Amino acid sequence: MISTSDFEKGIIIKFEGQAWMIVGFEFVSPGKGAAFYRTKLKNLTGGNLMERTFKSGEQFEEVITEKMKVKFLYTHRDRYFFCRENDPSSRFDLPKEAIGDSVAFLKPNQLVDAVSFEGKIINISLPIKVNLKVVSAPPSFKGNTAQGGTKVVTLETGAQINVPLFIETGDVIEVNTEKGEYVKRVEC
Amino acid sequence: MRNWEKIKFNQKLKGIQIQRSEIINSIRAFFKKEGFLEVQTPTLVKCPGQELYLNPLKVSLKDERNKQYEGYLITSPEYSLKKLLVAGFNKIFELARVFRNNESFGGIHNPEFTMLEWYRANSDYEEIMKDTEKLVCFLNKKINKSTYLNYQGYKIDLTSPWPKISVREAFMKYAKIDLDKAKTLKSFKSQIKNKQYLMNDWNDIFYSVFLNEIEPNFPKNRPLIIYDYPLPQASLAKRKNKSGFYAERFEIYIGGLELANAFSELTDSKEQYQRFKKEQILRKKMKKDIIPIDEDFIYALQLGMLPSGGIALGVERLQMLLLDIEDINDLLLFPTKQLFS
Repeated sequence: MISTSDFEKGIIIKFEGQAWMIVGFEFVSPGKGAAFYRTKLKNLTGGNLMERTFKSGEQFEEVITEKMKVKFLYTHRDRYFFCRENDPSSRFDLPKEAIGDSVAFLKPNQLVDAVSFEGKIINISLPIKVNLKVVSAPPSFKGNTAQGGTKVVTLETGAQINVPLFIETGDVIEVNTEKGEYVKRVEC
Repeated sequence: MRNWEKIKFNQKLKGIQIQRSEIINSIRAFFKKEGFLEVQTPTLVKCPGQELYLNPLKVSLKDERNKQYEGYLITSPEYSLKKLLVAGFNKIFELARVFRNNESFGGIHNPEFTMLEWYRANSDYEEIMKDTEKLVCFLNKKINKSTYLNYQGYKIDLTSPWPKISVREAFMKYAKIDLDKAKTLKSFKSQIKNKQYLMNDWNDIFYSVFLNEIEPNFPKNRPLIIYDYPLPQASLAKRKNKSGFYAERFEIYIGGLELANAFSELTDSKEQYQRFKKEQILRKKMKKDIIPIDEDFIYALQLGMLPSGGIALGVERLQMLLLDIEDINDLLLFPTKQLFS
């Protein structure tokens, strides 16, 4: 059984006879009543979204899913193409919305975790931290760095991200893919 | 990166903290202008609020002779402030640090937060509604120079008067449930069609319906005042009439966020004592800490409290609204989540 305290993005529960993936959740405590979890759920069969609020402590049946590694290949018209790690002919694709904002940090040949339900891949998740190369950084002006300040650089995946002024073209940086934020410069 | 370090590299984040400070200054300026006295009451107490669904943080302390005492951190400064009403201060406010255990580290909760409470003697909840409208409009004008508030993609019109709906009307309109005919668990259950809400506690059903069927349907382009809660939902509020099922309590929602909770205060010491006793029994049933009744508060009510109105407003949620921030962990300088991870 899965309880509300196990809730995490990507967890799959059975509710009203169907399989739903938790795509968002928030703890709500009204003060004058028990605590609740407000969730955004995605139906794994139809793909439709709905919001439901469950009382803290409610339990749900688990849904059998399979986990595997897949390789990112390329993107075309907002669809993202992958293949199974050791089977390049077994390809599938997902729309941008199914993956979320972290698509900006996908680079070709990168291995990511995938979840399948009834033989169909339903979701992939990037590692929370990935290292990416800065391919274009505007020059920083000397002085004033003690006051902080940021600039926008372009990464090898094409994503643009805010970084401290000392980052230069060619640096490798660690990025938090969930938040889309710079973490630190990686020493090479 | 921790929040303080992010600020070092980002002027915008620094600006948010400067605006938060301006909001606090403006709150003080507002209440000073309205003739309120700012007071400071203790955070560490022997008898915290004993509302059934709040979990006060327990602490133990020792005096210089190593004698041990058990205490709690407050979930609200309410009891102290009401004693001050009895003492003769008729218009008071406090920006208090409060603590709540068993709540999430982030989202719209942080275990430690700031509560703005104000109380008016010779008054009731309707005057507190007007205060709240005035305060929020005053702050938005200071911070955003507008009568509109932009929050998470919604443009919210703050112009007075704000729309109001009673809890009874809301249940009727959005869930087709007549609360007048739901005074007992059995009669409430008989009106529930969705099996998901059929729980064995009146309050659990109330909130399941409220959070699933009602709250998501509130208009997002205006603030909303929801008033007159059923008695099980109003432990320190005055009844609308002596034998009535509803009490004079209201809540304010802006942009889907629950911002504040207010009462016409219960001034009857006997009824207050009975409600506390009942809550103690229920807390025991729920296997929660039994919290000692604040006898000093009951004594204050016996001495006589003028009819009063009071409110508790979450300051960080107000700051999130004014500064368009979705997660409290992006607002606080040192969120609990970062301190304990």
